[in-house]
Order: sequence, then C-alpha cells, then structure tokens
Amino acid sequence: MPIRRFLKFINRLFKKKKQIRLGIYGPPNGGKTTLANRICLDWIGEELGSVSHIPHETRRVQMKEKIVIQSGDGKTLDLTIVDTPGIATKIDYEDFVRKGLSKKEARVRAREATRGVIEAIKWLDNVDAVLVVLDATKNPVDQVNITILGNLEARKIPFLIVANKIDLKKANVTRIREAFPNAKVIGISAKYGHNMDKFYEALFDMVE
Amino acid sequence: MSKKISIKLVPYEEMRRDMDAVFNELKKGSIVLIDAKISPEEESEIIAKTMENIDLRFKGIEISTIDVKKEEKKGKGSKIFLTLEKIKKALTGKERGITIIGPASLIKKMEKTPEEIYLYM
Repeated sequence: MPIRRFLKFINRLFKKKKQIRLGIYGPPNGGKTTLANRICLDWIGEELGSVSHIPHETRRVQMKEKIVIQSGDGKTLDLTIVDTPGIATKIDYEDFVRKGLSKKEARVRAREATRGVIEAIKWLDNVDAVLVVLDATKNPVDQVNITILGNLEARKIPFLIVANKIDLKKANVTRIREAFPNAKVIGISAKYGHNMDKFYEALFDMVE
Repeated sequence: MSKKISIKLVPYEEMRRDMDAVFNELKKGSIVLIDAKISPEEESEIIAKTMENIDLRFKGIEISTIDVKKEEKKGKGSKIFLTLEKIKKALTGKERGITIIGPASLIKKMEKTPEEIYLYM
C-alpha cells in the first residue's frame, strides 16, 4: 500500500541509527586488524591499523568511530570499531627473534604485547557486541578461544564467530562450527573480501 | 637421566585467597592442579595476572579446565544433581571439575577432550 510505504519511509528517515561499540577479539594472528581494515575500507574508504605476519602487531586497542553501515533493506548501524590486541597465555620474546626482530626489538614487543592482552581483557566491559576472529586453518578447540567465548556468554554480550582465511586451502569452517555448535559462525576472507555480504547480514542479525 | 616434575595441588579456596602463591609455584616450574573448574572470568583474571608476571625467564602458561562428567549430567536424577551443583556453586563459587595450569617453559601445548587433558612437554 503506498501510504504504508510512505509512512515506513518517513519512519526510516527520522529513526535514530543504532549505535554499537563493536569489539574485535581473538588469539594473535587470526586477522582481527585485517577484518577491521576491511570493514573500514568497505564503508569509509580508509584503513584502521597495520598488519604483519609477526604475531602481536596490534599491541594497543585501536578505535575507529562513525562507521555507518547499511543493510540491503535500509537498516543502518553506527559502529565504533574496537580492534583489540590478540589474547594469549604466553608471550616469548624469542619467538619474535625467530621471526627476524633484533633481541632489543623483540623484548620491547613482548613487553608491549603483555600490556595489550591486559588492555584487551579490560575492554570486555566496554563493548556492546563482539566479533571473535579465528584462523580457520587452525584447531579451534583452544583454551584462549574457550575463555573468550565463556567470558562473552557470562557477560551476556552478543557475539559472532568469524572464521577467517577461507581463501587458504587448509581452512575448515565446519570444524569451527562443530567445536562451538551453539554459536553463529561465518566464514570469510578478510584479506580478499570473500563472503563479506553474508558477514554483514550476520552482523545485523547479531545486534538486532 | 630422568627429569623430575613437580605437581602442586592447590585448593580452589586457596587460589581465590592468594593468586600470587599460585604464580610463585608456576615460576618455580611446578604444574598447578586446582580442585575445581574455574570460571571464564577467573580464567581471564589468571591470563591478566600471567601477563603481569611475564619476564625474560617466565614466558607464560598453558591452562586447561575439565567439566563435570557428561554421563553424570545425563544420568538418573540428573536434575537433582545439577540443582545441587548449582546451589553448591552459588554458595562456594566452586564448580566441580579440575583446572590444570603449567608453565609454558615446561608444557609446550595442552589438548583436551571432554574427559581427558593431554600435556605435551
């Protein structure tokens, strides 16, 4: 009916955008910053942070405000993206040396990474919804992943598991679904932008 | 020559009272066994505490928890059993199960099934 459609249009015009502080969590090197960059590139045309093959590249919480995203049916979300350092139970500076850093650089990186993990845990109290980014080529039954998901459930924070790196041959999204059968899991490649439409749909479903 | 490994049993209540004592044991190279399944919030507390303790010698931990046996949850009178467990947890904060924490310098990896924990040294 044209009148109903018109009222809907007016309603949408004056409806306040839903504001969400969206945390991006996960173990190191799962692709959290790559996903944050992908979302930022898709909607505001600029990246959020640098990425590296050396773990713990993100050692401080990085934020980007006013990322307004739109669904196919006209709904909008006003996101503040909170990209957090990877959560780990161990940090060995010698691992960084093996990746090519000098001893001095490696020690600084390790010290900063420990502070980053603490900061990421503290931020759990300040986010409205969370994307848990897991590397789909790795075994998902890991105590760090279980701890992150357990904390989100205990705090009643809605979350979506993002199985990243589906462009790689060894990726196995089914294994992640089987490990966490009660959670919604979406497979993507943040690096190449594969399956991002489905990802945005799942994101809208999560926060509604 | 055979290698000696120390396993220290720490009651849950003691862990809650004095977390530093747990880390003293881990830094000495002991594996710590707690007589309860700690909660996810307590796990994140332990991770944060681990990060505060990391230095050139102490590289972190491996941690794993194991739940009440699944068969017991399914068995006869399971509702009564689970209700009693919930009451006990509400009163003591203690959930049935075990938690194992080891220094990362000693334990390379932990893997678990619903009933077993594997330690790779």
